[in-house]
Amino acid sequence: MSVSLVKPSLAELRLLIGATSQTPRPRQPFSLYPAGFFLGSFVELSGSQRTEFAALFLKENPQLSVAWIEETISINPYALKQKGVCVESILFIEGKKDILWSLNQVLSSGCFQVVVAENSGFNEKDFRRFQLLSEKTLNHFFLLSPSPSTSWVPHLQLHVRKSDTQWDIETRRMRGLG
Amino acid sequence: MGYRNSAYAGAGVKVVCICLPKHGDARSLAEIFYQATPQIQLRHNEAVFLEISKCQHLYSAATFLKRVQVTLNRIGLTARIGMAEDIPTALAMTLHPVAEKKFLPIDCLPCYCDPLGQYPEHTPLISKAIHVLRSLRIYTIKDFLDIPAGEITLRFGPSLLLAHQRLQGEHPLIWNIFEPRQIVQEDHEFDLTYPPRDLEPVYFILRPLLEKIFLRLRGKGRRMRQFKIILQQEYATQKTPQSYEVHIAIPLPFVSLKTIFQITKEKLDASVQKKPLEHAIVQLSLVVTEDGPYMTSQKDIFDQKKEETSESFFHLVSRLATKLGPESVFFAHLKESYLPEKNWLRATDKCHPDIQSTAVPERPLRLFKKPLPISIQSCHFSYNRKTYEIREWRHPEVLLSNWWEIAGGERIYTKLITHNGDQFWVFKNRDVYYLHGVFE
Repeated sequence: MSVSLVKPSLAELRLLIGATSQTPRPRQPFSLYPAGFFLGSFVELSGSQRTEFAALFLKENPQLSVAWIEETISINPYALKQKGVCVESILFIEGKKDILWSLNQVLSSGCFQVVVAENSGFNEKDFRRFQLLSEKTLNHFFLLSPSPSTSWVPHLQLHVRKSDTQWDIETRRMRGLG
Repeated sequence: MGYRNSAYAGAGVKVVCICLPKHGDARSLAEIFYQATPQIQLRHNEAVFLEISKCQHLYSAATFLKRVQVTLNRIGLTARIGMAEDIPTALAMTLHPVAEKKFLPIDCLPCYCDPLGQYPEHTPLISKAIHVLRSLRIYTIKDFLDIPAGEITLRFGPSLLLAHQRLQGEHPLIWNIFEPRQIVQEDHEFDLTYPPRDLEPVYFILRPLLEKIFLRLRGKGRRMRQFKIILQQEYATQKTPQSYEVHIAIPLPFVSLKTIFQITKEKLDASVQKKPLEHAIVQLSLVVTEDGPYMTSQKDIFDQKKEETSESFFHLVSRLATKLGPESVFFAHLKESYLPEKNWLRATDKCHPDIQSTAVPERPLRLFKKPLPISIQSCHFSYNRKTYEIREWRHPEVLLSNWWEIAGGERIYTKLITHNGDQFWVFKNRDVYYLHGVFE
């Protein structure tokens, strides 16, 4: 009597364990990144025009409530207004030495649809926490880093530059739904 | 200014009397009901009288009594409540509850002689007179009123004549203006036999105290913006003072008491963890240091999720402001000004901008609090331990700043573009270059 091994397909195995099907999440449109950013995305922005890139995303999506967190506030709201951003819907937070705590509170609160933060030397563990929180509360989390981190955690790492009016957007890393 | 209640007697005047237990704070309670009526009278710390006849269009007497009961439950106070047409009768009916005024016992005569407790020296004479009345088998007010008024002074003294007249609706009391206290503070002294050494017993007391402060301020149409908690320790040491103070900030309106309590608890826990208490706590005090207008909002029964979101938003902002300081959590209020450091302000509340479109040239997205002096030598400058090579100088702009400030006077701004594509905003002032922002 011969025994024949039946190799089930991945879809069949998924069904056996009751795994949910991976449905694409809704994406927020953005002219500079036509694929858009999906809800709950963690996007790391680096490059010389990273803040302007984030500001343009806010300009194109004025209906979103925004939290802008920095260790010491250096963002200029007046310049944001000049870029066409609806500044009235932005809550600015100066985290000082408690920036990590502030960021955790803001991300876990679910009160904001967009959270923009400056990278203040966060480590891998912090990144992982930000990713889980932003996925849980379905908000866009933009981390502005002077140089791209080596972490695998962000869904998307974009390096943005601008020469006169020409944008140069380079995707350094993309993970998952990206 | 005041009015005589006799003018309103028989015209539906309603006076509610709240008799407090011993050591009650009648003034605080009166402040809580200040929003219901400004006509308030106090009998030391024993009773509060509220004249509610003018509020009949807002709520009925029965509803008001229920509201009073609910409010007293919220602040954890047990009190007796009564209602009548005038102050003495309201007091008498509260102390001796009977169906009708005429069935009141003669023991309530002090309520008519001195309802506000202004003449304690008359009390022995009144007690003596009541004793005599009893010996004459006069037990109720009905019997007392049968005595002709002309005989009362001779037999029982002028105090009982006053009571007799008040029972017949004469000699009404004047309602004085009630003024709430400016400083809103609540204290609780712990049992000195077993003073608490940790925060758990403090939280049990804190909740009703917060509730009381919240209601007192609401009575005045105000709300807390900042308050401090003072934990009085048993002894002071050389290192630490006797008072342990914790400051709480509630910058946004519509924060529920539950949220305020949670924030307070978190802050207290964090403070004590950082700087532990050294001795037992003998007293807990709550002092409001800053208040703001109380804004009422209609409950949105069609969009409850929106309300929940707003509540969680206010909760978050309050928590952040308490931890980081009220200045660190803000909305930007934009102003039109040529000076880059003066065209926005930190505001605690959302505000619509004064400006819609701007005539000011482009400003950098990153602006430093203080301009950093830099040296530019042969098209090179250093910033943040990096050297940049200048490719282009663009958009010169001359601004005049206040001469007494850092880098005051004339500032010649220029946009520097480096070979890497970085753009900096630099100005020259008295032959010194300053880096003021980055077009990031």
